[in-house]
Amino acid sequence: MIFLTALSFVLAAFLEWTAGPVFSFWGVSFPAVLSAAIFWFWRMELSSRVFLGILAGIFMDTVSAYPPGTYLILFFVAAFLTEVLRRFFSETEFYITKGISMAILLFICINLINPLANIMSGNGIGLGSFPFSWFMTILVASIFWAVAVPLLLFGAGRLVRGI
Amino acid sequence: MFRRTALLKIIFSALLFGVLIFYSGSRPVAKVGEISFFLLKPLIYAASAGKNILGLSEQEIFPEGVVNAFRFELEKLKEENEFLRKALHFKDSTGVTLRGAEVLLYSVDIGKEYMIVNQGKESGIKEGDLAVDELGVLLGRIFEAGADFSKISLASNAGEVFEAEILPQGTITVAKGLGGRAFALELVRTDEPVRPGDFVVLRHAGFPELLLGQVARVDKGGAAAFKGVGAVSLSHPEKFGKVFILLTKQ
Repeated sequence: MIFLTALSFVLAAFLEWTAGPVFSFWGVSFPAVLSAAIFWFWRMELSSRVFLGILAGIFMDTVSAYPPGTYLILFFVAAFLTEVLRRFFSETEFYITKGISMAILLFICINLINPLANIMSGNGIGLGSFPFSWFMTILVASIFWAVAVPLLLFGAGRLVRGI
Repeated sequence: MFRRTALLKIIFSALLFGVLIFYSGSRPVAKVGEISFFLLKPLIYAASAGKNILGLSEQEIFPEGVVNAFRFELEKLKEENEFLRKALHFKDSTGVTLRGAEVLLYSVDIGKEYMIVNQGKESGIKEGDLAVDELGVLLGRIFEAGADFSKISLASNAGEVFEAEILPQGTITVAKGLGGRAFALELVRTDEPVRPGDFVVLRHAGFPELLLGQVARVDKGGAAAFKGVGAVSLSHPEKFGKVFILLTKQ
């Protein structure tokens, strides 16, 4: 399980860094590492999730475009948010509920990262320093990826099981 | 028993999280970052190589003969450059030194373009230094410098702001990054004769003029004091394997 999780993160990072800039929607590339983290979060208990979030956060902060600590907080928040969603969906192990939860988490995480980065760089929420069009772009892109990633992931999973 | 272990795990994780966030400037946490970068380095190199193999990188590959011709030309230019540096006292007069760096990774992270280069604090690079490409076009600003690596945020990223000048008329403006390699040029008076195609250069005390972009759109100001002007970046960070960092004197 640990090996599989690590391998999926390595593959996700490789995919994001190679194909990411090419396959981007409205300037937001395929959030492969974030998707991998959210995918594994759903399968783990809270303590393991928080620990994985911290580990993934440290690595992502090292190579991200945001100030150190941004991804750490993002994964930390996502780990607890997963718990909330699991309780909301009564821990139903069903593709649609998993897909919806993943979509919600992706949407929140993508839109949360810039305010978090501003807080980390000491500018407060600092939304005024960004153009309005930029936020709209991120919003539209986050909706796209929030729909596309679960569809791709669970669609592919169903297909593999079907075969 | 299980709950107790889980609780201990959460407390340990929360403590670790707190230390990493609230003591992010401390030496041990910086060391964690360096170790993390060291561990990720092979993956970064693999991703760069993978980009080239899969043809996803736009770097131009030349035949051996052309490369040799370039090498010869480069040696000639190095000599000429050295001569001109001495003649013009470039370093002394501008207070700027150029430091070459190899691009380890160019990527897009949730709407922000960035590059990781293989030179860091050990080479005198610090946060806020500017980076230019081989053609002298401004790429961006160093936003994080590790011991042996630095991260460059592209000038056109949202949140980046530069004082700039529109040429040839010399209109002073503020270039705000909009993301997607675009800038909004602000505080341009309605009566300024700015046209699409004009060049935008960086205004920075003690720095040579660096090309920032080109005016792409000019709105009619109407009765307003300022008019909307948009520019596009002329840098192509995905094409370059090497960049130059402008080091300022402390």
